[in-house]
Amino acid sequence: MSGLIILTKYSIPASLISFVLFTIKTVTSYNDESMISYGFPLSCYAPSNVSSMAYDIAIAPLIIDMISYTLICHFIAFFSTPKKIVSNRCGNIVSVFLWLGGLSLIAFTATAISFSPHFVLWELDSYFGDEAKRSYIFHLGPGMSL
Amino acid sequence: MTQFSHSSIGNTHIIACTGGVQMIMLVRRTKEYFTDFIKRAAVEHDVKVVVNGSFTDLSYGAIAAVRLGNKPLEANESTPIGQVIQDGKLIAGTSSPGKYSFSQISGPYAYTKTMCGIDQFSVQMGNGPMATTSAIGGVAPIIIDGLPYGENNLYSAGAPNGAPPKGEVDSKFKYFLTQKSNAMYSAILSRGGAVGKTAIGYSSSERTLFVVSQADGAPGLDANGIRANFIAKRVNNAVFMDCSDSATLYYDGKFLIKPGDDKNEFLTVAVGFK
Repeated sequence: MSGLIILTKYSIPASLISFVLFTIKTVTSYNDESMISYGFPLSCYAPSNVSSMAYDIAIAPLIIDMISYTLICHFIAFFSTPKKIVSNRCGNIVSVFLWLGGLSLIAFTATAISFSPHFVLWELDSYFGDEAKRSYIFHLGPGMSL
Repeated sequence: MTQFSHSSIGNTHIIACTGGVQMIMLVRRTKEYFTDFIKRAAVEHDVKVVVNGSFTDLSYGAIAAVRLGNKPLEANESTPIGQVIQDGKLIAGTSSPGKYSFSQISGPYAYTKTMCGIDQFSVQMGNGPMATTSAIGGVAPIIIDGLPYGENNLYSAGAPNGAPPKGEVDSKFKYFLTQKSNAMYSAILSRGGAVGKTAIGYSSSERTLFVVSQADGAPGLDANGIRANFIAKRVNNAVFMDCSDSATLYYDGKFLIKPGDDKNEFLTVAVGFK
């Protein structure tokens, strides 16, 4: 029961915050051409080459990423949250701030990548293929070009 | 005196410009809607045709202002991608070496050429040369010096083994190359016929510049269709500008295509022809 409470009060909002603030920037390059995408463990959104401020969004990797962040955050929260604060006032205040922060950051990111978005099921970079070189860089903050 | 003629294929507008057409870069400097700026600049510079130009980036704050409000941004809150050159001077934009540029060639010799009506337009990788009448960078190639661009590298019969299917091509394969791959072109192609498009192409043999534009969401030609149309018109240099709902076309005093509401708040670079 406490696992479910920790999940809803801390793990899910913490995963929303983490999803926005801590990600992996993947640079996929093939000879002289390259693209940048964001997401962990799978790249789930990328600035589009079609239009200003447009993004390509991969739905399945996005779901997998969200589940992964939630599992990681829940693992950390479950083993690090003192059981006695889960139901006390301090724990409730922390939860409220986490939810406010998480929802705000997700709302901002969703707003920012919703300029003429283009949804794909899986692959963001099918043009580059398996032979492309990929480098992975830890990225702090929402994955956007500026 | 430049002559302009308008035609269309379905929802795709095509404007042919002949007779010493001059390309002018128009950069918004004040807080006004992109469409208001174009209307004003068209009168100010006496241009007949105006289309949208560069891709544009925004800061986090500007993103929120555009998405949550409906007022135009200050011009300095938008960052055009790719250098915008007018009369040999950089007037806006940032360097974009991995993309392409479309320029009206000049330099001291070509200034004279342009004045004589022998206009020369070209496409090259990277930033446009400074010694041009005008140039816009950060755009996607369609045809360069007669070589069509597409999803993959294609070769004529007899090409040696090992020719790369995408990307840079070694000199030993270049002779056989009939189509060059490009990621930006491929991305536009993948969005099909209904995505908004703006393209410019020039036929040296016909001495005609073609401006092609199609509204976002309207069924029309896909990237290959635009390219085929250019090839049929003997265009030897052509590029796509910022596409999707950035597509804008102003012709003869009125808008045939307007950009999306958000884009209208922050786009800054337009290309005029007179």
